[in-house]
Amino acid sequence: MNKLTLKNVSKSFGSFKVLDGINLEVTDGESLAIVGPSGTGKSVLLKCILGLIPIDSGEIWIEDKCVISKDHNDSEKYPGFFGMLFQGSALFDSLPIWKNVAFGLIYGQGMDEKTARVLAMETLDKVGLSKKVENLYPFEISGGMQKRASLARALVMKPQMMLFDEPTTGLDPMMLSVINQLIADTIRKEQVTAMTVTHDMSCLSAVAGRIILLYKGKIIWEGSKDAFFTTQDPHITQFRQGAIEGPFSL
Amino acid sequence: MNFLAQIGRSTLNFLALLGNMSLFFFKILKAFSPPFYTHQFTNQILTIGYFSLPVVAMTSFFTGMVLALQTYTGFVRFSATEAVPTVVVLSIVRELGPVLGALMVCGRVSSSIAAELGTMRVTDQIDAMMMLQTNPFRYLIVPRIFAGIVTLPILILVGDIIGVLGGYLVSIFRLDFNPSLYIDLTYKYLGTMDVVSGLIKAAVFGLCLTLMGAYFGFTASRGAYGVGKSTTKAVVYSSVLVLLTNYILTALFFTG
Repeated sequence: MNKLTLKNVSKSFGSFKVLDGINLEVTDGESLAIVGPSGTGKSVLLKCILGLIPIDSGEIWIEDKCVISKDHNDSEKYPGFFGMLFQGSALFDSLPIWKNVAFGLIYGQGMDEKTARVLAMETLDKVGLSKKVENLYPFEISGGMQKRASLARALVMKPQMMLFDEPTTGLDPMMLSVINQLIADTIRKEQVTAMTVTHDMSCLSAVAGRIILLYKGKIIWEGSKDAFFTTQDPHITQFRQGAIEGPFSL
Repeated sequence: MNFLAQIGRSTLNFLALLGNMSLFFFKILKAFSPPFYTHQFTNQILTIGYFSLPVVAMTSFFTGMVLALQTYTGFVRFSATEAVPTVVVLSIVRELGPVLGALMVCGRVSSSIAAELGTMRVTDQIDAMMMLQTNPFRYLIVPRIFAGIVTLPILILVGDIIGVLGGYLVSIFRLDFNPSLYIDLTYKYLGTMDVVSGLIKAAVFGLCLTLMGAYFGFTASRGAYGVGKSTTKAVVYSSVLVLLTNYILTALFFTG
């Protein structure tokens, strides 16, 4: 069964059409990567799926239920289905790291602080963050550590599907490898379905199973990871090589 | 033609703003349900109430002092200086205490709420909160609004006492009033409704200024620039709303 299905989803901001009739199916346990030039609607697509941005037309299905359409948004009825790693980590500035991770357990699920803290510490350990950071605030740790803490915060809620929005943006090459490996391990060990928005080739290599290319709000290419790295499609070639000349108007 | 179009556009924008604010307010009302985040409420009591005390106290104190001086200067011309204590206390508890206090809190609290929530909005922290099964209206906004409604009357009551004290000190040490006579005259014409009306006004002002801060913060967009604009709007709209509701409440209490 499909974990997630998008049927003809469109979204505009004013006269600017960001998503133009997107049709997409994500099967259970799959790791799908979405690539495309900046401003093609990749992050908007993720936020539409989460119900954070209303769609103009089409339908978004979770398993066998239509959850979001132009006229209704039942995403709140699926608490904990999605976990999200935001582009800028989106940790709560006013809370220490352990409480950031335990936030959903305490305030969303009503778990007592002591139990939530133990679970948070276990999950922080899973993502390679030591006890040293538990009482630090987000601004006191590095960008890579923030990404890991943010991943821990999503994982502790045991989501069925993880969405990663440019997980490696702004990281140094070494930390980039660490985060890529961590995401790949997470998808494998936690057996979650994943959807990753990225520009980064190393991230695609490590994480993706299937890849789609989004351009001007439409899916213009779809294929396996192997096909992505071998195809001679001019769009993919330009994207892969980072060339200025090519079919993408920059 | 351009001028007419501009008026039409401004009117439509204003009506859209009113509509969005109404929807926002209904969402807050809907969020007034369990779970209640008491620690958040306590934090906001401290932030909005306790930490605003110095600015409200200073405003009230100097207002009381100036009011005593000005009233005396006017009333001495027709030998009515014994009315100074009554004018000072009634002006402070009915109008100047609540309005000036609330305007000072607008500058301090509305801006702070708008900046904090706006930054959370543009850095995806509010979206993240929703992903963690926590209603941001319930966690972020309800405690702030409830704290505003509860703390403003207390803050203004303390401000009223300090304002009257300011008038008393100036009257005794500068204008040579008899201390016991001044205190007698302060109480003589002061009714319960005078104080209560001021405190009810303060509670309404507390709602207005936290609501505006929350609305403009929650709907902020476009990064630092957007947060800056939202903060400015929060202060301007909350100040205007305080003055507007003050007139409406005064008309209701004292002429209705």
